[in-house]
Amino acid sequence: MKNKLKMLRAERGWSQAVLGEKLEVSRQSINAIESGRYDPSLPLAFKIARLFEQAIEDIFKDES
Amino acid sequence: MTEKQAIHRYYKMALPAMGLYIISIATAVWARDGMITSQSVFNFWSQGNMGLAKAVYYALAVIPIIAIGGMAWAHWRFITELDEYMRMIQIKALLIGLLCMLAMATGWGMVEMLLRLPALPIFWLVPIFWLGFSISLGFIRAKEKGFGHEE
Repeated sequence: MKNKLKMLRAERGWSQAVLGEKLEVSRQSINAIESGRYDPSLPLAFKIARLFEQAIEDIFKDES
Repeated sequence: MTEKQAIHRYYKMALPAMGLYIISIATAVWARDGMITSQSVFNFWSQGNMGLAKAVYYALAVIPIIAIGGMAWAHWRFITELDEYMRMIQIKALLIGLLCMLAMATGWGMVEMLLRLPALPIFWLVPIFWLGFSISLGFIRAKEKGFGHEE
């Protein structure tokens, strides 16, 4: 699943570690989500959407 | 809870449990040999006190089970304290460790039966499992590191 997490994070000037702290997950998790190696659970996707004040489908794009 | 805190809590529980496991296995082997030879304080068997000997055997068999319970509880708690991605990595490594243990048990069992090799004591399955788990976790983490990170 593609996402624009990296772009949203860059816009705010946050590091992966800072975003991880805000979402209460590890830096490795942020790295894996950004690179598309890991799709977050629905609760984490909602948390990300709330943090960036966007809808889930605006951040994550289903490739199927 | 941060990953560092979770790791600290894990080692605080898992290391004494691992120590207890190793000591209990070593004690059981020593006691078994002691019960057979006549020079030991555990010489109940040759003294004809079979009831006491059996009671000691059962007690020695229970201690490693308690130690494994401690290790399992420490790991279970550790996994629940991690975030979902790190938990997935742990579960992958645990599954590979389990598969290593099953493959080793099956392979050695077949070799034992067909080639009449000495029996491998079944309590070795626990160290084999943890070894398989540790190696696979190392590989998974190295792979993850290979992807690097951006600030």
